[in-house]
Amino acid sequence: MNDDILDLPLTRLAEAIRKRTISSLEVTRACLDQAHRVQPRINCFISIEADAALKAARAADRALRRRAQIGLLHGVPLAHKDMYYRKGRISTAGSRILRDFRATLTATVVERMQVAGAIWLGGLNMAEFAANPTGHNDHWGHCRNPWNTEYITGGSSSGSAAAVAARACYGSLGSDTGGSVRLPAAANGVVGLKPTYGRVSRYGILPRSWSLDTVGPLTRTVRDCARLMRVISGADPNDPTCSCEPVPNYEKALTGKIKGLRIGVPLNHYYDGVAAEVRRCMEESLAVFRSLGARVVELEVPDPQRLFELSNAITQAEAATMHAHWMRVRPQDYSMMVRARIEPGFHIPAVSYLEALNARPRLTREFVDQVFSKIDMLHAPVMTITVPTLAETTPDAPGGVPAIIARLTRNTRPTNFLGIPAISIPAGFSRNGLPLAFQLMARPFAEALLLRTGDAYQRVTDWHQRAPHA
Amino acid sequence: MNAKVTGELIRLCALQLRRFDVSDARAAEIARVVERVNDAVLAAAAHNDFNDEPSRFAAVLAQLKQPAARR
Repeated sequence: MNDDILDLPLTRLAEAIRKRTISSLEVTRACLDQAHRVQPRINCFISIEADAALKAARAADRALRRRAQIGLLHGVPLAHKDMYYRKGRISTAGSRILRDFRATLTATVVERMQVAGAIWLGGLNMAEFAANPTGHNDHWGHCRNPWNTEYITGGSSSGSAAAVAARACYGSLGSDTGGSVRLPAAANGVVGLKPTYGRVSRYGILPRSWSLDTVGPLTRTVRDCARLMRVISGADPNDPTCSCEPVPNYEKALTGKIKGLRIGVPLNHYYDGVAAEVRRCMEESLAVFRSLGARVVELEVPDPQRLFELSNAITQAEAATMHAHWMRVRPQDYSMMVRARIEPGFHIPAVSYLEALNARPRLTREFVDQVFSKIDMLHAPVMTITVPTLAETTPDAPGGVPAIIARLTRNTRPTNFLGIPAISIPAGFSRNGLPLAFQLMARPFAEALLLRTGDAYQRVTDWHQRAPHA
Repeated sequence: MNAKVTGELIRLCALQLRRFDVSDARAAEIARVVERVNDAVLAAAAHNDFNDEPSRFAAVLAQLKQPAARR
C-alpha cells in the first residue's frame, strides 16, 4: 500500500488529499517510513523532522475536515536542500562551519510553500556550501545514488534528487549556479528545472554566487515541476534581483501539443567527447520529438566554452568574497574540494570580475538572438558522460578538482551565465542501469514552453515512472 | 604581450594583499586556473562598451523574452 502511495506524482497526490481519499497523515507517515528505510543506504537527509511533519499533517487533515480554504500543495510532504532558511531553525548548507547555524529569517520560497500548505519533512543532504557537482560531502557523508550506491548523485542538490527518486518525498527545492539542479536530476532520473535568473526569489537562501544563483524544483514529473514553479515564482520586494514579470499558470500551459516547434541540436561544444550511450539516448529522444510533430534543426551556437570560463570568473570571485573570513580563520573546516574551488577567486582581479559581469548582457543578447531566432529551444545532453562512480570523481589533491568540475558541468554552466531557463528530463538508462537525461534550454522566461515540451515527452515515454526500488 | 600568470605572483598576492600563505605547489596550480579564467575575461572585455554596467543584465533578460504570439 505504501509503495502505491509513494509512487503517486505530487499533483495526483495533492488532488487525492484535497478529495480526502488519502489523508496527509497517512502520506506523511509513508514518506517518513521510506525516508528512514532509504537513509542508511543513500544518506539523502541531513535532518528528518518527523514530529513536526506529523503535527503539520494532522493540522492539514483537520483543515480539510472543516472545509477551510486550501493551497496547491495542501498536505503534500516535501523536503528541501538544507540551505533554505527558516527563522530559528538550523540550516547547515551541508557544511561543518554552519553545523549549528540558526537562521534569523525565513526564505520567501519557504513562506510560499507554507502558504500553499506543504509539509516540511526535513533538510536534505547537499554539497558543502553548494560548491561541488558530484554529491560528495566530507562532513555529513556522501549522498549516494539510489540506482546504485557506488555512483554519484551529482550535485550540489544531491539529497534533493536522491530523495525524490527514492520516493522519500514528492518534490524538493534545489539551487542551480552551474548545473546544481540539472546534474543531480539527470543522474537520479528525475525532472529538474533551472529557471530564468530572477524568476524565483533568492531571499533567505544560502548564496553560492549572487549573480548566477537560481532556485529550482526537482520532481518526478514535469507536471509536478509546473505546480512547484507556480507556487514559488514571482516578484519579491526582499530580493531586488527578482523579476516583476507576470507568472503564467504553468500547469495550464501543459497542452501536450508541440507540433511545429523547432528544436535545435547544437553542432559545436555540447557533444564534444560524448559517450556513445549518451549520444544514442539523445537521438532517441529527438526521434520522440519528431514523432510529436516538432522540427529538429541543427545549428552552430556562440562558443559556450567562453561562457563557461566567464561564469567561473564570476562564481570564483563572489564565492571568495563571501567565504573570505572563514577561509582566513577556519580553513581546516572546509573540505579539500571546496577549499580548492574557493581559493582561485582571491586572485581574480576586481576589474576582471566586473568585466565578466559587464560582458554578460551583450553575450546573452548575442546568444539569444543568434540561437532563438532560428529555433524555439535547444536540446543537448546534461552530461556528455554516463554517471561516474564516487571513486572516479574523488580528487587526490586540490589540483585535480578543476578537471572533475569541468567534466561534469561543461554543458550546464554556460546556461547560468546566460541566465536563461533549462530543464533536465529523464530519457533512458545506461547499460549499467544509471539514468540518462537531456536538457532543453530556451529564451528568458520561457519556462512554460520548456514545461509544455517536457510534459509532451513524458506523455509518450515512461522513463520518469521507473523507480530505483522497482 | 602575453605574460603568464605565475605561482610566484599568486603567492605574493596572497601574502601581501590577502594576508595568507600559499605553498609554491598550490600557488602554481591556482595560477593555471586564474590564467585561463582571466584570459577569457580579457578576450570578452575587449568588446565591452564604456557604458556597459552589470545591472543591465536584468533588463536584457526582460527584453529577450519570447514575443507573446509565439509562447
